[in-house]
Amino acid sequence: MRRLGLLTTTILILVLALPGLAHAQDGPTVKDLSLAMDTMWVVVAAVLVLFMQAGFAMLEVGFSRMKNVGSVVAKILVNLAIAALLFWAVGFAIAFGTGNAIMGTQGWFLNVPAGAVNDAYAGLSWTQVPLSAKFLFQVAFCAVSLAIVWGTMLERTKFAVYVIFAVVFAGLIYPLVGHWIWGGGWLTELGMQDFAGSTVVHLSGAMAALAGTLLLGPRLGKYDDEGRPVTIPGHNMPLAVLGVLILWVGWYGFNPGSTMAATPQIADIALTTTLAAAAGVLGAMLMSYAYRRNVDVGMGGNGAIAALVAITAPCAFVAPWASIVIGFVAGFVMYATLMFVDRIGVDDPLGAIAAHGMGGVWGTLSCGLFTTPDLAAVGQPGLLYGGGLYQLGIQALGIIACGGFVFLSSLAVFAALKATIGIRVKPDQELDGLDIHEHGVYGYPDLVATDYQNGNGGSSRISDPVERTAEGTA
Amino acid sequence: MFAAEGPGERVFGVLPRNGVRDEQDGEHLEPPITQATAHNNNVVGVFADRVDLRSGWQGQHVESVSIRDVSAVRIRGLINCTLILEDNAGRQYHLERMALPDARAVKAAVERQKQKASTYE
Repeated sequence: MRRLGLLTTTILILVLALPGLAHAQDGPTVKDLSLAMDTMWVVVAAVLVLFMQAGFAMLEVGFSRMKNVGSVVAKILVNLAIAALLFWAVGFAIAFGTGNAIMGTQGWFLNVPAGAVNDAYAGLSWTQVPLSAKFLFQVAFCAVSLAIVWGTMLERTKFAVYVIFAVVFAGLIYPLVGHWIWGGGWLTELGMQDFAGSTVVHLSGAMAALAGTLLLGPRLGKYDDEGRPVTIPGHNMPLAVLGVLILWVGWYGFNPGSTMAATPQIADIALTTTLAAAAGVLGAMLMSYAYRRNVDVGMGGNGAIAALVAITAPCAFVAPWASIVIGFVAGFVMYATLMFVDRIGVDDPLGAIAAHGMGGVWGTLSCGLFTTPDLAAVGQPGLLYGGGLYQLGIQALGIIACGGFVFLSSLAVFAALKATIGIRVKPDQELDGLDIHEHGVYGYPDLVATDYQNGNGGSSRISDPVERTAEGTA
Repeated sequence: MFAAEGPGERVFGVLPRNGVRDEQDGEHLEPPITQATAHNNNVVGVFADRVDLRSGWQGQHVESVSIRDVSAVRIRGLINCTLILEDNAGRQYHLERMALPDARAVKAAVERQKQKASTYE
């Protein structure tokens, strides 16, 4: 009886306590869940964009000669490391910190009290995700812009130059442009449209690349005695195309991720991104066939990249049909620019100036043409939707200002480096390959070292497999 | 492109008229004291007894100037430098768009070798 009473009392106590326990464990609110989803999406997008470094690595390795592949991947690693640290220290504050029309002046080293994040980083106060997620996403963009710079300077640049320029670019040049367009700077005030960075990321990288390669000069053997370009083929097209595809997939973090919120809009942005890339491949391949009567694999890949670069700015502002036009034209523009650049003596192994530079210009301008009234979250509708020439003018102004600034500042840095430490490796290092001289190891030891031991390499001796192409006989 | 000229004459953009030879067997095994790349496939290499000026899109043309025949080495410019090599016959060789540290290294190497050559005369 006594035991029964004790048991009954225990059960009653538990039953009475249960509602209390339920109240103590209130589930997450809708706002909490929304924040969690946004944060998850931004982090996933950031990882996708970071993985684009693997795409750049494969693309550059594929377009390089075997003797330089190690230096290419070493450069990718060190640039990612430097971009992350410099952007953390000063770049993020300059780009998104509260400040003036030119630069941010708050939030150095991400050292901001928890409740003051939106006050310190006014440029990103529109998104609710945590500061660390914002930084992770933006630093990936900085790393992409820096990776673009080196596409034109492959196979002959000193490793130290990569390191030193990366510090300046990630710490100052890129963040300034980012602040002007995204961080509340003067171009933000004017309503310039650049949703995910055709100008901020890609045009900036390409202009820095152009400045560098003008001072660097072409690779030995790139131009013949009459000044005609000679094709120096990459050693692995499958790797190059793998790089393109990785970049394409990474762009689903680049463009849709720029919403920095898990909204239905990300699907629309992914759609315009996909259509543009597909059209770009076909546009470039058509140009290749029209010009040379064959379909160049590398050009097809560059067509996809140029189209992705072009759609980066307008991806959230244009209709799907417009994204196809933008991508297709980007393929054409890229091909024509690449031919032009090659002929005027600018050696660009990856076609970065054509794909990222002209793709960026076209994409930024296309905002002023195709932005619909419904989607114009920033600025005015485009010319084709009755918006007049205002938005087109703002886009052009932004291109000239940002492109010009990045080109001149990069030129100054590279000029200083050329006058002090030199930016180009010695001729025998270039001919033997950067792998062994800059890094002490071969990228493909079993292949290149064996060849070297058989006496087919060596200092002061040019033994590179270069070939003349139809370019040289046009 | 560098140029070889007669006295009082400057010509750009042409291969040298005298002393051009193709690379000899075994020549590549001798490492240069210093070397540098100039514009348009031109490479200058300083050896113990000569200066080699290599040109051609595969580096197939080599013009050698004996150290004793070099009369002067000058550098013009700060960023895209021109290295001017003058021999006793008055010919000038212009190597354009070099980096300043590279041009200085070549000049220093040539002057050092000339000094050594005059020591043992």
